[in-house]
Amino acid sequence: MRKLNLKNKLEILADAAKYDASCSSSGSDRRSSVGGKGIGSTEGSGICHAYAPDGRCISLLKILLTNYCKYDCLYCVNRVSSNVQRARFTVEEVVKLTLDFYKRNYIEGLFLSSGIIRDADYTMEQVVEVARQLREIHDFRGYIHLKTIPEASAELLERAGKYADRLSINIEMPTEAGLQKLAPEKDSPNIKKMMARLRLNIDGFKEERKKIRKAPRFAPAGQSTQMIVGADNSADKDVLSTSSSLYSSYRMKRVYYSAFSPIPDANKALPLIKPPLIREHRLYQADWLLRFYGFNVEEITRDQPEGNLDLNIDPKLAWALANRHWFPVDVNKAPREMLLRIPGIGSKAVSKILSARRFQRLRLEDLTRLSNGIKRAMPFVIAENWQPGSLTDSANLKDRYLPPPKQLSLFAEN
Amino acid sequence: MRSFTLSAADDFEGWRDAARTAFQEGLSPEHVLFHVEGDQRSLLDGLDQHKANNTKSSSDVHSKKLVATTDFVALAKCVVCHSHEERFSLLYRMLCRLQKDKRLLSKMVDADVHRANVFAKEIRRDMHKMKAFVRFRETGISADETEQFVAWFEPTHHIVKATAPFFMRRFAGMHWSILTPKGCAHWNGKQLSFSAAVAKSMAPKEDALEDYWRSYYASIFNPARLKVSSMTSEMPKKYWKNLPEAALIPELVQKAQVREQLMLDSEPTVPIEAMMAHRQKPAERPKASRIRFETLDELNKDLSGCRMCPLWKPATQTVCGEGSPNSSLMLVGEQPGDQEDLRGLPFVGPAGQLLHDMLTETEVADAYITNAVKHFKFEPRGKRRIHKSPSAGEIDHCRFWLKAEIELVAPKVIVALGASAIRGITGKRGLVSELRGKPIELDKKVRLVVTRHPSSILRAKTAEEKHLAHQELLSDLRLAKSLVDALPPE
Repeated sequence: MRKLNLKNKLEILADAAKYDASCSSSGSDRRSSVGGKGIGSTEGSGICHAYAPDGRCISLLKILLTNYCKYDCLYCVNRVSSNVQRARFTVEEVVKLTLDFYKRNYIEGLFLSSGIIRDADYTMEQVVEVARQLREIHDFRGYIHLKTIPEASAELLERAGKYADRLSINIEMPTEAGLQKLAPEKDSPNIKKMMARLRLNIDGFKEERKKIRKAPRFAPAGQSTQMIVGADNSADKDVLSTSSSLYSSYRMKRVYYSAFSPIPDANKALPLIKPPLIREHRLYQADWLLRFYGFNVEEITRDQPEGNLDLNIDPKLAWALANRHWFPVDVNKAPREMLLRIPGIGSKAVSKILSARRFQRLRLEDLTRLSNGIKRAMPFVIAENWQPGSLTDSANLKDRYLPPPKQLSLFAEN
Repeated sequence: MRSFTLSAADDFEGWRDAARTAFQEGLSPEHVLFHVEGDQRSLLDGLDQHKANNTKSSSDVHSKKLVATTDFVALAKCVVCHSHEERFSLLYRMLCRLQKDKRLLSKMVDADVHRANVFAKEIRRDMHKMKAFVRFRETGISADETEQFVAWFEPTHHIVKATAPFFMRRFAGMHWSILTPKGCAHWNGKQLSFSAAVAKSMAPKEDALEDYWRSYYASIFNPARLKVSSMTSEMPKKYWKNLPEAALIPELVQKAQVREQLMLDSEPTVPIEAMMAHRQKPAERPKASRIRFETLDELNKDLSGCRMCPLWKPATQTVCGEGSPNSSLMLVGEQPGDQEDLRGLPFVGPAGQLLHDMLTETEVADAYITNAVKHFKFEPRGKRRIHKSPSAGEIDHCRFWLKAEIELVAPKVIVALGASAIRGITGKRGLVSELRGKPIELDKKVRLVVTRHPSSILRAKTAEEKHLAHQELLSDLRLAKSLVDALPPE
């Protein structure tokens, strides 16, 4: 076999990592390299340094340490039964690439994952060693996200948490049955127990830090996870129920949804279709409604056939159309909870409305200064000079929001 | 009409001093103009020029005291960086209005406030994009062996000074310069400095690492998810010319569809045997299959795989009983809570802590502790889980396990903590208030003591209720302890 150079390895191991949707580099503690020996800072919100033509942001150097793997997860490009080209970085190569990229301001830090080689602890140890060298040898203060392996030892987990800003472990499938079918080596109870351990460690660190400023760090940016959408037959209702229990049980910072996408050398047991990108988008919208708008899963999904979100309109609008008895809402009187339910009005706009209406009664043109979605909101709101009248209850209200019909294209835009 | 000249496009101090002077002279907003030194000024020719003095205002007139709120100062510092020529007069007008109306900035629908907020938002975005899209190129090593880097960037607004501290905090360990057509920033490892704008030709043309960066950019892109508009809305084309990776975009976009089709069309390959030899064994999943158990370990092993009711689904794990397997005393609670579910142990949360304290107080050293229901039933609410009481059906399903536990541990005294425990133990509905305080014979060998659940003490609303509940539980535990102590030695 031809010997791979560093650039070949980078190509293979970045390609192998791209199906992980997580890219966030936010939510860690504030720190800078001033007074240190090296480089790196984190200041709350992360930065996307580039965008690929798939619209996804590039914030971290997202790579695998190796794409050799003992597991045979059918949806995964790196599964043992796939014939993709394999490669393995040395710890030092990853450390140097991370620093070199960082110094040129290409990235916020490192996202490191790995195929499972030998056993869980051996693999985890290698991953942790990269983070250790970055932090301890190079005094690197940028962002580090490490994937954790459910079966790794408590001691390794502790070390991973000490060096990393964020730890994550993927739930992969919305249901245990789905995981069992597509990833037979993975164990759903173990995954959940690891998430529980992570939460206990993260909570413990936060408690300690209130008492001692220099308490040993543990993943200050918390944990996140990812669910693959469209590889099994789970409905959106299942996906969102799983998310909402993950958020509440393990205080996930984020649950990422990854539309199952064709991969090189795919297993034919899986639906090889165009990735359901719109579905993924609707799930993110619903996720936001759950976290920031006071909705619950039942409300979002109960009016939708078979518990799947409407792909044509966003889930908040779909809820509003199915629950018109709540509308129109008077923007000059309604409480925050009700303003949050108006289609087209985001949570920031709600805060602005609440602040602005203390001084004057709001007219429609005032609202346009507070939100960009007023046109969408019009059938659902009452303002000083605006009454939607029968519009709110009109039978064809939904049509107003559908894109104009267009000729079928041979090249559907996802 | 009075005109003030500011020394730089983002000269906040100059504007502030000028505004102070203008205000003290009683000039109304429409009679004041601000002008940046060196800018074109056709409109201003022939007007009364006044050079803003950065060091000290010469004016000693304090006829009117000028007050600015801290949020206004913060907004103004941001808005002066905007490239719109009306920014200074907008700020002066707002400052004058602020004297009469301290809450001006809260009035978001006001035309001036709205405009200033739009400017500020554009500035924040431009600063954010500068933090994102500056690309350093290595130029050498300094005398003290520090790597030196130079970048060329073209901001839309006058944000170089405002953004430079970010780069200092991030790249303290290197020496760098950011060159722009709106001024340059430099860091030598000790301090930030600024210099006048230079031409792009002053910046280095390439860096050896860019090839690697482009490889990474091309590899991390998923051709099956092509979505060019999402890319361009966040990475507008105006930035492309200074981004080394952007040169790849046209080709990546053009070939995406072919690459996707290739993945869809290709035939599956045969796995390599040598690789497959390393395949991990599928995970073993515990199953509840036995009906009778010889030991608690055997029981707990089956219990951890229990799927008899749907409560296992959202829970983390089964929480089995804990304690000495031959204890004469068994305590039965309702169900695990948040902490118990995370740790896999019964009574380790706040109510558990309380119970353990009370057991210490009553000198109970040896007890087997378990729950009527072995999975945590909850309702997700944001980042918290709200406890939900188990239904009679769920308790009845779980009785299978509780009965087997009682049989194996064979306690002489069982304490039921709350109504769910009563149902779990007896299979019948019972009220704590009616049953507590006296031993109940379950059968010839086992007696039951009913009491409240420790969480009812935590939930009590008044101090008085809390005290009463505490006393009740304590006295019931003492009763149980006295029953155990009175048992004949075996």
